Amino acid sequence: MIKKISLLIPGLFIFLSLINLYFDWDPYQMNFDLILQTPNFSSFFGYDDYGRNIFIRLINGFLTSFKIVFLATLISFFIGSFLGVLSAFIGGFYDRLFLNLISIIQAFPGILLIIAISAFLEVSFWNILIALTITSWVGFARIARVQTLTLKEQDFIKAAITMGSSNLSIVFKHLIPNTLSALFVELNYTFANLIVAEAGLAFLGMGLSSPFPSWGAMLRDSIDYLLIAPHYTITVGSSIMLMILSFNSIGRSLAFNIEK
Amino acid sequence: MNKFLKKTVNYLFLIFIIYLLTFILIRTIPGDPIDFLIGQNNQVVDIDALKKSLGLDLSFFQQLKLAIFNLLQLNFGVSIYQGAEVYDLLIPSLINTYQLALFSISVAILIGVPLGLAASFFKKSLFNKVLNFCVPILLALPSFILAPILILIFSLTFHLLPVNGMDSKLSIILPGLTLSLGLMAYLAKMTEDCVGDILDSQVIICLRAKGLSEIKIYMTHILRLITLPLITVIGLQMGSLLSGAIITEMIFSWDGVGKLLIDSIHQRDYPLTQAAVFFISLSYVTINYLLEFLYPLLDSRVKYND
Repeated sequence: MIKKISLLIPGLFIFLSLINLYFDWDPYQMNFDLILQTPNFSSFFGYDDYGRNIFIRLINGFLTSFKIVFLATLISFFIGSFLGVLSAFIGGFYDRLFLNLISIIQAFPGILLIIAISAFLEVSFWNILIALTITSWVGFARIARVQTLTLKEQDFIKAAITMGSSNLSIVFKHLIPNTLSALFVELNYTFANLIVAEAGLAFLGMGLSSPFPSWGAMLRDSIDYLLIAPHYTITVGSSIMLMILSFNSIGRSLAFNIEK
Repeated sequence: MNKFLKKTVNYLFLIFIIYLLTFILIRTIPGDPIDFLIGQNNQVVDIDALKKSLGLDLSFFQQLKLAIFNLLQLNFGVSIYQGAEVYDLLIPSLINTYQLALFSISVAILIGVPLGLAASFFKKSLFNKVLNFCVPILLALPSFILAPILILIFSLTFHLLPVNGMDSKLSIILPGLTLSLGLMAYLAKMTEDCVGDILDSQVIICLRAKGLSEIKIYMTHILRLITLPLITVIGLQMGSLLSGAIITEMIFSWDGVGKLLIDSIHQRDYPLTQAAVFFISLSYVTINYLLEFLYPLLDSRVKYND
């Protein structure tokens, strides 16, 4: 039941953004007589502080956030798992160096890195993508590395080495496919975490900010009207929460199935 | 002993590298602390003299040499923007952050662990179901959503707690709750899972056969067996809390080290940023370093040598 709902929510948003691409609803259109109007039949989620339709802005914001987070997760997945497997496979000095690199990135306040990048390159789609990727590939690398360390001792890898297969084919044909199941679980959690991170950045005013529709920026704007128009905060907040909730539970059920 | 030495060297090395990275990063960001300083004060000043007094006229490598030399003496210098000693600015905000972190972690442990124990004790009860329904929701609530909800409930509707700031003694409660609710849910779930695993093991069957009461098994044996995984999680979370929950500190105007860091980066206050990052990463790395020595003490199955 919960599994089905958790697949339904991202699916619903993707479906709505496809509809939006067709109809091309305008997220910037302002109706000054509808400012902070509560939800009704003409707009399910009501209007924001400039009289813009919250529902349409949420869908538009979802598309940009989803693109950033999706790409960042995929890129970190590829870089992280490849480097993690390679590091454990080579071992020795390189592996120790790699472990230290991971510790440095984890101990370093990510926000400084993100501010540095955004100050250097200005806030844009690609720069937020870079900033998120730099901080999140580490999780994949860590898991891939640990998995490979245990795999390396198993007989089929030793057999492959004895048979004389090249290092590249061992990494790509044997090691990476066998770490994938654990990495897929991490993929979902990273996705959920990056949604939080991206919205958090916009919330701090360092991401894509208003008037550009973005979930984090909308939430920050809505807090100013918390007392007068709680529907603004509630609709935006619960959209973000439901998205994270569904990706977390997809990850959990994946992990559960893999364990079985 | 050899292992201990190796770990310590590695630990010091990590902190040093992070310090260097901060030094380079903050200087490569466009923008000049002098511009910021002058722009704020609107005075006619001799820029060269000002630069000289702040040590910014030196070349990059001379500054780097000086910074490393100062680090060895643990001297972080004077804040460019505020003119005060870095320590005078940093220590109060570090204390604030540590207070908040300790408060939220103890609330999370004191409520989360008993909840998890109770949930595993009453396995098929309504309580267990309610808890299992609430846990994923609490885990999915980021601080910037939870904080407005808490403010709406406790400050604006019932007028029980202050909205933000740190004037009264009660003001720690809302930021503390924001940070601890998710962690509490996580600890409760983890306690329940760990106890579930242990309950199937031979140890517990043996204890039951010995005739111990369930309460006694839970309180003396199970509690001890789950400490190790719990300590790991708590340690990791402590590390991230000590590095300043930046968003929570911003929302509640809590003068912690996260807020200090953000402000200092915006003002291009090089010495302050360097010192803040140094202490943030220091607390994170130190917790991890201490954990590795705590494991063998808590569980004699874990040994130093591997």
